[in-house]
Amino acid sequence: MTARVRVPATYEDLLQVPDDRIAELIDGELYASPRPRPRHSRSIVRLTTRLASSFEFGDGGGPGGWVFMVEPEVHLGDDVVVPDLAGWRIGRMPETPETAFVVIAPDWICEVLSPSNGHHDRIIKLPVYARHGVSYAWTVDAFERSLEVYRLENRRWSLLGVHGDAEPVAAEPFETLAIKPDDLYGPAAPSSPPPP
Amino acid sequence: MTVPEVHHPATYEDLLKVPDTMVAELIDGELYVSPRPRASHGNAAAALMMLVGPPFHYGRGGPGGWWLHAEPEIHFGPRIDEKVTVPDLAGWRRERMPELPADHRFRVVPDWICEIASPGTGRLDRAVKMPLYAKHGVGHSWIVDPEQRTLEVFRLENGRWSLIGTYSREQRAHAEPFDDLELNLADLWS
Repeated sequence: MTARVRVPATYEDLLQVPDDRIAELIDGELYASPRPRPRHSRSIVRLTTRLASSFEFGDGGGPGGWVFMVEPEVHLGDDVVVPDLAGWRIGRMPETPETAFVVIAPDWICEVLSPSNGHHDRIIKLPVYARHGVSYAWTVDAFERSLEVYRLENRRWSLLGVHGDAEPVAAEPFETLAIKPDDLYGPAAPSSPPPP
Repeated sequence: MTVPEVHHPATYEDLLKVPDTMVAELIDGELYVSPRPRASHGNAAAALMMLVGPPFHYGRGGPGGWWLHAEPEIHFGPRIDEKVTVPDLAGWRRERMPELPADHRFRVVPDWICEIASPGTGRLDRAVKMPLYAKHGVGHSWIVDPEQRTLEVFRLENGRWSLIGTYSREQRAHAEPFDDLELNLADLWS
């Protein structure tokens, strides 16, 4: 579970959170989430590899032009969030910051949901990203093997599509790349449901 | 899950063979069979009916004008028996559906649908049923997750779902299309 701490919390409080937790500060509340499970982590690595290859390095005729970061600490006004994955069009972040955090809102974020963090990602963080003008949000459910693709329209999330694992996914803003389900969700798990 | 022999594409005949202990749905020739939900699921569904029903179905303390139903069998599209879903809850404005259907099959697209998520049904709810509801013009869709204690509220805009509200735990919500009502989310989990 994501633990909530006293209100209003400050960045000083965030810095006290042990390193084995991911600390975020949203609307004055401090959230400390456990590090992701292996399935979650593999999903992030596979997806990052696919996206960066095409959209950062321009391999295989990919367009390049993006910068990706895994679990960056992003400061958006007074909010501090750590998306699982974030991407910026290089024109919006031509220089890589030397600080411990990034203050430019990403153009795209991806949250990989875990059985225990869906609430935090969908209910708490998606509205923060909308408020700060992130253009695209993906939520990957590695257990259910589904992907929701949202685009910001009039400061609200519009659900562009929901994908399962039957066929490769080509979704905005990376619609030129067809991503295989196993590269999005990790290898298929045994059929038993995840522990709560 | 045990399902009797199913043809591909599956038909309404196949759906009728599913045992009464399961919920059966038919979407794009695919038969989906889900187990009866666990108690926390039924509790949230019942709570919503008890809270939304009086003001919107009966007009007690509210505007009325709606039919609200639990687990209606809804037939989408021009042909009956082709696309069949059983949302956990659904509502119709009475001007769009003045009379209830004579049998168990609803043919009018609902104005509101609520799916209560269970572990394992997330992909069916989100990846299969939500797009179907958008395609057929359901006005609002709610997803309630009793495990996570969350409510997501979507409104159809230009054929797409717009996420207009997210609530959790003990928050209070004025959620469309029932925004006249202040919903105390704690009531769904208690």
